[in-house]
Amino acid sequence: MGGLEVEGLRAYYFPADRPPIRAVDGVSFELKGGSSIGFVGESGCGKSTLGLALLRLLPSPGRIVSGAVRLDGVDLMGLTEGEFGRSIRWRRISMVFQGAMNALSPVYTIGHQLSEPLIYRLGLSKGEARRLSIEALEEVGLGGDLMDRYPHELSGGMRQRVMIAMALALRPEILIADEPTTALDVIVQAQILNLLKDLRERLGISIMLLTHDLGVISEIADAIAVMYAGEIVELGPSDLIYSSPKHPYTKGLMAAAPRIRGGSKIASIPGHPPDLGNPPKGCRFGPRCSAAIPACERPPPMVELGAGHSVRCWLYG
Amino acid sequence: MALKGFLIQRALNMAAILLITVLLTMAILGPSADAILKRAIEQETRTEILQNKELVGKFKDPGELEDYVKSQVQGRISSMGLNDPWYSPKRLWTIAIRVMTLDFGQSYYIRGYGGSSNVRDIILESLPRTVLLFGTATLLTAILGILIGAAAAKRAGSLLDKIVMGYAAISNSFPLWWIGMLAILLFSYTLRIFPARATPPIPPADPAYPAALLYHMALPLLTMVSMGFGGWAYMVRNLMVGMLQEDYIMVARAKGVPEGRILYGHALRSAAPPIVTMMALALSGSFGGAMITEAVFDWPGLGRLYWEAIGLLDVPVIVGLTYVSTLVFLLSVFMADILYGILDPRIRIG
Amino acid sequence: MSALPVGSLWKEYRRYRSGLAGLALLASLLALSAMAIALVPLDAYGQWNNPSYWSEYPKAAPPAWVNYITGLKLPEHLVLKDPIIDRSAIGRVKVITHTFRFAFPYEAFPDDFLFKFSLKYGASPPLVELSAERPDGVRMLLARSAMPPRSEGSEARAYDSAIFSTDRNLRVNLANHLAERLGILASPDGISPERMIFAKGGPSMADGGTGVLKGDYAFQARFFLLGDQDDVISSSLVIGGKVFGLFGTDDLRRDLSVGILWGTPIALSIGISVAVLSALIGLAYGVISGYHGGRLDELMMRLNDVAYAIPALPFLILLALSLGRSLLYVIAYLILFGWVGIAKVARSAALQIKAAPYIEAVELLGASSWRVIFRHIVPQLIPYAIANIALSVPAAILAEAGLSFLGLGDPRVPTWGQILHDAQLHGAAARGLWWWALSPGMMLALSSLAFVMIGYALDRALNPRMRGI
Repeated sequence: MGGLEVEGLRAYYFPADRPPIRAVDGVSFELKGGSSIGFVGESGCGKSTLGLALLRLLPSPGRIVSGAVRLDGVDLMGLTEGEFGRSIRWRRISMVFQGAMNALSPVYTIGHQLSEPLIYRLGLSKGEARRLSIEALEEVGLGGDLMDRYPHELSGGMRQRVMIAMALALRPEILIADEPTTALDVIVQAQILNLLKDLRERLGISIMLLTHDLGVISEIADAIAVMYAGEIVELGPSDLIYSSPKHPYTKGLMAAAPRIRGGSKIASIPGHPPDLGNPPKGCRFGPRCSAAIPACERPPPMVELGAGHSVRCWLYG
Repeated sequence: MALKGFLIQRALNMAAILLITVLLTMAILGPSADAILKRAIEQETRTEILQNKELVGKFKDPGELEDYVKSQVQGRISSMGLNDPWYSPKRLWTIAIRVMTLDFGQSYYIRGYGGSSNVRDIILESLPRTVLLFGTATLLTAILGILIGAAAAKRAGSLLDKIVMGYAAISNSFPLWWIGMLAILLFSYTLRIFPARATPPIPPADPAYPAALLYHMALPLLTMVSMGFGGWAYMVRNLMVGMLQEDYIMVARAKGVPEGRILYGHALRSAAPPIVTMMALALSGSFGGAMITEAVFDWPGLGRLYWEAIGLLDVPVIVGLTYVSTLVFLLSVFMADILYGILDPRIRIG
Repeated sequence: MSALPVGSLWKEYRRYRSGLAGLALLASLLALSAMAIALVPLDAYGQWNNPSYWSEYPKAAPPAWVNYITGLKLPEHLVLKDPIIDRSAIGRVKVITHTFRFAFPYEAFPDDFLFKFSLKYGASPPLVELSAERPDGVRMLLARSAMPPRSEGSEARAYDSAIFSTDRNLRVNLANHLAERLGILASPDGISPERMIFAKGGPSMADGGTGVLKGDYAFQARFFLLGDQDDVISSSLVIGGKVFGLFGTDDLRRDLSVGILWGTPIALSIGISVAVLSALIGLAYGVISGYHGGRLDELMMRLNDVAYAIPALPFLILLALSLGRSLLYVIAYLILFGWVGIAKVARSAALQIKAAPYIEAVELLGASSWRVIFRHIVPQLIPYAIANIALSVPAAILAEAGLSFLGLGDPRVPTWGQILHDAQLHGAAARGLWWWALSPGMMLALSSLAFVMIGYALDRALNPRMRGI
């Protein structure tokens, strides 16, 4: 089985009168077909940028600087914007955006918005698109009666389901879900997570979950990537990460997030994430790290610990 | 049901504001209008009596004649209900009701083309021309402004965007009537392409009149559109720059919606409700400004009529026109409210 | 609504080049205002609507700098007030000579000329003789006339008089000159003095058919005075040209530079006072309404709706017609329609801020309403108020100009709008008198442009979404 391979991906923002913001700075990981990976980190750690970069949707002045992205062995970076748009985006990799209220246009009906990818990507007629849209709604547990409703008439959970139905409309292989449960209440969060798990099993899609919430990740992810200041600081199978976290930052996250479904928040790591326009020279977590040693003045390497577990920390190098 | 309630509430509001406008107009004009009206009646009566030689012959003493004239004047004043001061509730009420039912009475001096002195007729004669000129101008301005504003929003920060913004700032600070004067100077005096006066020199009954009117309309129309679209483009651009940053635009792009449809479909569609409101207000606003613009170009519409009425202090015409322009203004706001509701599904429920 | 403090607002504002250009433009307008107040006599401005004050000026003359653009050498209008004075005596008779020397390098004849003088004499009337000396050395006698005798008393008293180029006396003298010097017989009626004096020699010089003789001219007035007390008080010579000054003149001979330069401080003070006062009133109204809430809020907002729904221009006209059109009144009328918009925004901002948890905390700590309003609500509204002021200045300037253009301006305080009104009334555009319509409007446009640019930049500096775009 193929899957998604990302190697050394760098995506920066280039504001007019400031140094570039290195939001994603050398990220490598692999997502095997049918599996799932969870990216966890505080807001501003670059995980949303990573998702947008994979779909080539970085808002100006953002740009992919370097790195390789391969889907089933095919280099995606070599594709032109037109090719990428036609054959990859939404068809093979699609995304559930953060904040479903803003991701749905307030002035079009649900049906219209669901039909759009079917019409523009697959060239279906309006009638066919409507039929498939109703199916897509039913697939996420909603009724076809929503077709002629407007987003403001729906609850938050329903909107998130619509968003998921929309992302799955073209049967992609990979679904990137950016904070799919934020701003939903606990019960609805659980329902959405169950839906994602269910869809993964039924449709065999790979899921890349971006969240700040370790509790959410534990529900779905086979593997976990902990992101800090634009870098992956620890990567490995979820059970290993949960049972024996290595990186001081991961440990901090674990301590701050007791494993209660949903309602946990990251807190209590002292200090703030660095300014990504001017990150620390050595380890980016160094200034906040309680276990820092003199070696941390230099950038730490990614250390292989075996069993697919690796960590970016001098304590293990 | 909710819509009906909304409409009724709006209509009541409108009626209340109209009543206030009429009362305010009378409060502002009242004292001077009364004095002018009484003087006019006295003059009219005196001339009438003095022309009647037979009647004058009956009076031996000029003093007696004078007394007779005075009593006649007094009689007419009281028969017209002018005995009470302008602020007496009875007079205010009768006038307010009459004005609100579009009965503006007879003009003092201004006459319609057919010689009519009925203020409503005179206003109705000029109204279509103002609607023709300013309606066309607003429509063209809005279309041009929306297209250019959307294009600028899409390329925010580009040279096109900067040019549009610069032009908007410049054209917004230029008084339209002044540009009108310069346009006459350039196109009528120097280049001799368009006539300097926008009033066709032939009577409205002439079959060639509509064509002549259109030809005479070209210069004011050109001036208004070229001075107006910049401000529109600026507003549309700012609205759309905001809209284009919304997540749903990114989603639409990701879904494969073509750029043109994103811009003119999704983004413009979301910006439509405020744009429609702007358009309604711009239309009524340009009716307000019509007075000056029509005076510059000598366009035979409501504005010029207003201008003439002010010059002659023809109070019934002034009252009628003020009422009509308030009515037009309020109707546009009313329509804008309804359109907003139709265009924005979030409001529709009411 | 953003809560940028003024300091960081300036930091953000500085990044917009158009905003800085607007400030620079405003600074130059202020400098121009200072210049106008310092250099242009208030007296001339006060006499704007007094036609006799402007009689020495040319009618509808374009600005002098058109000569540089067109390459034509149209005569500039000259007003000479400092003659060379010479005193001598012939026996008992005092002879005072006033000589005006000037260069005339132009290619067209003057329109006319006028010699004005003021004398003081008693019982015996003095004699005045005016002659012109041309570049070719020819001297022409133009006029010789005796002052009227005093009807009573012999006390020396002042007497003003003038010699016009249109006086028949002049033509007769010039006809004699032609007959005596050149042997040409011409009817005085066929002579045009302002042409013949400045024409090259030749048979057809009577009507200027030979072209202009360029060079240095001298007009000389000799006053023959008989009494001891008699004297010449002053004299001046006006050579009527076709171009004048920096801005030209209008149909009523007024020097447009006076009205245009003085218009600057007037327009700025109208615009700024209306904008600032409207903003203050609107701010107070909105904050009180929003902070107080309840029925008062309801009532105040209803009133605001009504004020918003009344069409401004017709009512401005009604007010000007009925209550009067002095400048202070006009400012008041404009404020009457100016406060409405900002009141609405201030109210919603006040509502929003009032609902913030920290305001509740402050109130629980016992802060008075006034303290909350002035310490917590008003400061947050100040940046918005500044932007609002910047954008309502041009609106006020243009509204006053519009009223003046309709002929409803304060006749004692001429403004750019009034100059344009006169231009429109005299058909300046249709007659091609471009300078009359162009410069006042340009000043209007520049003044409002300055504030529009400042306002737009503030708008963007205040609105985070637009920032940096």
